Amino acid sequence: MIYTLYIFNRSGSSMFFHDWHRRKRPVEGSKELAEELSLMGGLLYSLKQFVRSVSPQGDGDSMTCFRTNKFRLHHFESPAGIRFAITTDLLCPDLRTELRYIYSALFVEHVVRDPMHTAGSPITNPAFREAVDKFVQKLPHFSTSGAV
Amino acid sequence: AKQGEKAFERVEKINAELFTMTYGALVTQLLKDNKDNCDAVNKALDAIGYKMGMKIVDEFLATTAMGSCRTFAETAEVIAKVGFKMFLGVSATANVAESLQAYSLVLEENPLNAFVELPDKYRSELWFSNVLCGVVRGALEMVMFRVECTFVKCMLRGDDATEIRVTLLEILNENFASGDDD
Repeated sequence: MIYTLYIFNRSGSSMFFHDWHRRKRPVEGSKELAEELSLMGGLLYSLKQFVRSVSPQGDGDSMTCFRTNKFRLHHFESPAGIRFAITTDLLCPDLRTELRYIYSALFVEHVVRDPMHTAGSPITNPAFREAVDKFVQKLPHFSTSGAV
Repeated sequence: AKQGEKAFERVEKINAELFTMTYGALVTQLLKDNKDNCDAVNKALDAIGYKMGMKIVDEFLATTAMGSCRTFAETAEVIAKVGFKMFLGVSATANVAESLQAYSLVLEENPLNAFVELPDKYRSELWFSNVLCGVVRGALEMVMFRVECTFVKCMLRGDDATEIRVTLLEILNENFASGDDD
């Protein structure tokens, strides 16, 4: 089961947000949502610093995933610092390849090549949301809450 | 170098003549707009390139699926062999300075120059392909290297090759922009 997709720029501000099966859902434009996004941005940012400083192998380490009792967060960061995070239920397998696809195919096509979009600003292009929605809904783990 | 070939195969291509002509038209127009002030045109080209670079880098990283470069010197080879090949169809040679804080990219052949002849009055001041400097600068800045990038040689001025000098100014830190810190 897939819950939420977040995209952050390299200074940790939210560029994009979309959710699917969440029972507890913040309202669009509400204070709660803004808070959630800034918390998530800050978390990913701090985790990166944290991983870097405690990693036993020196540099070149990055956070790919963490889990709680209720959900799992998959994370992918592009070398230019755009962070993609997706939350799912605990049974969903690793989604890094999918996040990579969202970056290399959808993000590049609909955001980077959009002449109206300046790097790092929130994504307003509806084509991107549509493409992401379509792609995520087609994933085998989109709505099943068990191993497929 | 192989990666460069692969990346080149993967990207959409446009007609080379159309590309050079369009670029030539752009430079001519800029010269007109700036009343033949070559310095201003160089700057304008660099600024255009800078914006292109900031965008191009994501396309580059996505297409090549490369990891991050750990050191500044590593970027030289990647830009020369993969970046230039992917976007311009030619690869460059990278000469890294001993200090590892600077390098030059040498192009034997510059597609932007095709069919171009510089009139004498521009020859000593205009860097016709200055857009490339901007691109390199913009792209490197997105991966945390702030650089200075300038032309040192241009075939249109009668030099034997096209050479771009890239100097590292600083390695940027990721700064967290918090909106509402209490």
